[in-house]
Amino acid sequence: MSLEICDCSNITLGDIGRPGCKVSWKVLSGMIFMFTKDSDGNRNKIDIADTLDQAYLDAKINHVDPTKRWYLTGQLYTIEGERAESNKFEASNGDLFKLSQGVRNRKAEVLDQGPELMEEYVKFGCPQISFFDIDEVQNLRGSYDGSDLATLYPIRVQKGSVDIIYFEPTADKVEGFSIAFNIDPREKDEYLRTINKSDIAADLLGSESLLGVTATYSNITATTVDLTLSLKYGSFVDPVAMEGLVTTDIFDIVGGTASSIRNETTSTAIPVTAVEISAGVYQLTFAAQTATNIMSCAPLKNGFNFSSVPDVKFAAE
Amino acid sequence: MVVQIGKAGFNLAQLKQSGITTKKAFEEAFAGKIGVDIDKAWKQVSKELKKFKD
Repeated sequence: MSLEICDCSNITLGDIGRPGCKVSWKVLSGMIFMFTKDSDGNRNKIDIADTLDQAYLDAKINHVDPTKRWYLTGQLYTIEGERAESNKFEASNGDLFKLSQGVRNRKAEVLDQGPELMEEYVKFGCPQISFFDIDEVQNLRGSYDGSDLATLYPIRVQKGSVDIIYFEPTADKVEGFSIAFNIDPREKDEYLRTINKSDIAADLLGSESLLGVTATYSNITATTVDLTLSLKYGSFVDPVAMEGLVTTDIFDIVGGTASSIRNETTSTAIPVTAVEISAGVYQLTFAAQTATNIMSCAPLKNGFNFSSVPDVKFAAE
Repeated sequence: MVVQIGKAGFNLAQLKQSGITTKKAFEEAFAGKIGVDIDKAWKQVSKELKKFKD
């Protein structure tokens, strides 16, 4: 794969003068995953006109469209990635003919994390995804297409090659899991390009991806309901509470009316008052609705993914 | 409009819609839940309720 086809009408050699100054690419320390193409069918990318600051990064991490969202790994360990030698045909006299480029792979470890987080990474195995590399000083590396100098694309992962393997803690190693995949054969090492840390005013390794939130309703009365929001982490019987929501974080639907819940039966936004009565438990107070009407809500807060919450409903009393 | 007091964000539209416009109704709805003194909370909320128009 990726075998160069020589253009015999325009043969030149490269300009191999060495620059006095180059971006010094350091040891790989993290990655930013994303869908290769967004929901509009466009490749995700960085435009060189973009201002790469924390606001830009936060907007990418918290993007409401998961296909336009960035998924930051944070610190990874033992990152390896080598391109296998090219496949060659050896003639009977020993002459070599290059047949195809070797495959480049990538392997990294997520340490001191368990199966709950691993479960999230397993989801990366289905769609066509891509990634930017981050080195230890937070330079960012992607790939250009060989001609467009205004666009840096994430590096494509070979679809179907993602493998996530859990490992138990031992006497000399903490619990964790490895992420391994092959780079898409269309990617060329010589097209890798780096955005220097000095051009990035954001904490690429220190910023966190979204945390998924699950919801349950209880104690339903005519005018109140308790909404319990929790993360998947912690004890299975006592998961970590999702704390800190306020009334204005509760919407009827995604992109809808703040400080409201939704009466799905009548398709209306119902004003709500939210009180966090204990860690992660929000008592929602609202005007009495017609009994059996179906109700839901869509919280929104940076750093959290509430996409499953509107699917959880309760029936008005 | 929402009046945030401690961990409670009182949505004035909701309070009016639910008829929580008297101290008695306010206490019945929120006493012991908001983590701050109910009298002080009502004083602040009632002041905003008077000014609030849907």
